[in-house]
Amino acid sequence: MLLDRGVLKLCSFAEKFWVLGSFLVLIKKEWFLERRDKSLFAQTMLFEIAAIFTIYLLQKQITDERIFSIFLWLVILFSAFQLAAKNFSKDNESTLLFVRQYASADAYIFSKIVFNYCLLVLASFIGLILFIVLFGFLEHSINYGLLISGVVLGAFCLSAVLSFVSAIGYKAGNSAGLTAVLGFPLILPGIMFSVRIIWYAMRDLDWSVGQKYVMALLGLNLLILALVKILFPYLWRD
Amino acid sequence: MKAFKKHWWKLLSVPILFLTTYWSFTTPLQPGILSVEQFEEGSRQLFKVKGYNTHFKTDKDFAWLSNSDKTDCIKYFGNTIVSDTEVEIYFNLPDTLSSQYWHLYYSNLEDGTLFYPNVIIKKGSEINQALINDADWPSAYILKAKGMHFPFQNILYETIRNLNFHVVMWMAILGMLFFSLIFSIRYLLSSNINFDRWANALVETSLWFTILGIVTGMIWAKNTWGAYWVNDPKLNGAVVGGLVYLAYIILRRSVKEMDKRARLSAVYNVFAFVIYIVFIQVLPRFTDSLHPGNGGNPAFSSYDLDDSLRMVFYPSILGFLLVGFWISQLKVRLKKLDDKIEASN
Repeated sequence: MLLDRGVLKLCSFAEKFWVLGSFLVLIKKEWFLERRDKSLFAQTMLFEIAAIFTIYLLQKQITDERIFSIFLWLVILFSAFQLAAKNFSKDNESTLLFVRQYASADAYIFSKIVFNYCLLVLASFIGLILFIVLFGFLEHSINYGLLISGVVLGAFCLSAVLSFVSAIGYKAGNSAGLTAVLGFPLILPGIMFSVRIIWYAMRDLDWSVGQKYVMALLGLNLLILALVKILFPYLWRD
Repeated sequence: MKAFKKHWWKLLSVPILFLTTYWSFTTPLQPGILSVEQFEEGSRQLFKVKGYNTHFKTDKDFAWLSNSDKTDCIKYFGNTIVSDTEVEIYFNLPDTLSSQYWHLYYSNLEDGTLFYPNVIIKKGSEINQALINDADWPSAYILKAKGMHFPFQNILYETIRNLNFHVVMWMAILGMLFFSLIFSIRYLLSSNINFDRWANALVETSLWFTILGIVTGMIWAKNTWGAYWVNDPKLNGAVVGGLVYLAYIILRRSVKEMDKRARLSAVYNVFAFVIYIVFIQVLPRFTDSLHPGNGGNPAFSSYDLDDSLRMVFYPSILGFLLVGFWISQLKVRLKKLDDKIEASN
């Protein structure tokens, strides 16, 4: 009883703030959709593992850390496209009506970004582990701090930009094709920083060497978040 | 008179572009030293200096060597002038030299002070009282060339004129894209379809200008770096930036409804401009670039964008911007007519 009241109070307290109340509900909605269909993440993982095995069958050994990083990010990039393609089209008309009534545009896009990000980070780490195991980097000394921060920030850049761009594609009525065309040039700076960070991490370079790129990627992420926050309401209104 | 008040800026752009083009091709290059050959003749060090645009036969010539810290100076011993562009300078060197690397200065009244960096002197020969430990005196002798000149740069030489086309083109592109951003923001705030037409027209025009900017840059690169295309972050950034805006055009073509098209492309335009700036201004700072101002290279303005170049450079930017707006306005008018025809059908 006391706990219930506490939770209720916490919820109403959270709702007074900007987006948090409806945001949590929207995240929950995404989670239920994903749990019910189980299609999106499974598709992405199948795509990713198939891609990694294709690379493995074609090229058994990768000795160059740079090539390793480039292949890894290409696989993650295409997985991210896979995830982003169905991002908005999975909500049907009645769900959208509910969302419009219930939540602000900010809450909607941020719930999309955060949920997409959670899936992508999971997929990226699974891909990273597969890469390390398959291409024989287990014995190498790796700068794990740099590695993890690179994957976490790079995946965020991908999911934020691609979620936003897939919203444009969805609104234009041609979701998958337009998302790829519009998204590719826009995520290039993020990819370039991420490749650099993972490359340095796999070479076990010191944190101070990669710090510049981690900071740049973080700044880019914040910039993209601010842009999404400002622009998405204009995109969403009808 | 009414038409003049409305369209004066188009009339302005014509004389500006005409004059800046004329100036940037006719202004002579500052006199400078092309090459220095060194010979040791017994106790003497002989420098055969080849000049460019120089007038060595004028009076009151003077030469000295100074080390890179400008603490020591060696006065010249004598010189023979072969022609207007060739002179031989003799130095008597002391036994002990404070440095191996010396800068050669040669000045006369017509050409001002010419400068050639890093002449290597292996050994001295004979003690001579010409060695002076006073840093101040040569600076009193540094003269300016008479008349208006473009700066003489070692690798650039005459190609420095391209600054008024290539760099100016990119400045105009940035300006037009910035105004396109402003129009997009104004569209989002007001839903006035005319702003959308302007934003689109400016992007299209700046894409044409991008081709010109890349072509002028390629010609310049061939003459200074030795190849039409080099792996340089600014070049790659320019191409990817072009792709960003090509995607903008494709987005516009894939949406049929006018209001939706305007809204989506305005949102994309704001996003694209920020990424574009990241591409051509932020990314090159993280890697080595051959362009000035990146990867440890000094920026243009710090050493060779002098007053004579500025006098052509800034008006030239204005001229190209105005022409870009002129082209865009024609595009906007065409689009207005197209929309009218579509509406009447």
